[in-house]
Amino acid sequence: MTGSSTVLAAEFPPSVEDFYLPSILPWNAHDSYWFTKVTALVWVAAAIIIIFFLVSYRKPQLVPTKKQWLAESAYGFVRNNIAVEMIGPRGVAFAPYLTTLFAFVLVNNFFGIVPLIQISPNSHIAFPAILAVISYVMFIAVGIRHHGFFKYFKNALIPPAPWFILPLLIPIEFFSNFLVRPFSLAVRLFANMFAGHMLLLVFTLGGFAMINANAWLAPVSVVSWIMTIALTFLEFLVICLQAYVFTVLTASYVQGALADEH
Amino acid sequence: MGMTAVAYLISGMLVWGGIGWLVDHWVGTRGIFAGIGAVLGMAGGVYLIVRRLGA
Repeated sequence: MTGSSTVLAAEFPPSVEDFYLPSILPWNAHDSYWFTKVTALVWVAAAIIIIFFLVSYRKPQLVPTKKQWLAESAYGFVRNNIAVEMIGPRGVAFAPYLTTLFAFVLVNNFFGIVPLIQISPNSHIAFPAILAVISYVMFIAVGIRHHGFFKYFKNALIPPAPWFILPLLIPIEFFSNFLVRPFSLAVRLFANMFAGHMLLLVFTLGGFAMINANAWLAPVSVVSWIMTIALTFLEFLVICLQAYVFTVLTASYVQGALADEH
Repeated sequence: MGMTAVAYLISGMLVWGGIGWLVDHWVGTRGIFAGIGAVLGMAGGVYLIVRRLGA
């Protein structure tokens, strides 16, 4: 049996091109990418979160309904286990933002493994970058409001050390506090979602590539597709973990900005 | 937090290694200052970790 089965799929080694989906609103336009599947997914994520929290808290019951329980435990988790845990009693003020951030990142990431959607907006650097910029501006603004401009930067840049090693330390502090932080926040989330999508693409398309090359390879293709399913569960882990890490790091930066000098 | 410690170490090496690299270009040496800078930056990073995150 030498006839190759013709299963249609994208060309095999998946590339960055596979992340650039066709335009939706001017349908299939090649000069306008303002509205693609990725854009649509971000709006859907925002809508899901708004509607979910509004609906589940419309008529709050003393004995919560299932939906209310879910919403309350999501908020309670972020408030108690992230905001208060990291920032302390003052963290309650940041719980609403952190919960929104957590839910937004989580839902956006989750699109990466929903069958038939299977791409996360966060696998484009733009979305994590904007989220990181929001966190960055927020923790600096919070620090300045809490300490005042000069005192905040003095706290953030000048470590408790003898004067003669300060010239060595201040550039390091500046680099790690004000340049590495937003960058690593954005890149960590982006790279995880990008790699996850790439991994699923490799195993799915690899199965098609093998079955197309030689029908005898069909069993190997099946193994490859089973791997895709297994990796989807792994992705689920990564998705939750990255949403958590993003929120925890934002909280820890806010905590650092609020901390009194030590 | 582990992430902060790693950030200090890496930024120490990058900042002072980078400055050393620039000095190398300026003076015309072939990497001696970058090496010294990276070691110094590493030392600074360790010192910062001890002061900021240690007891």
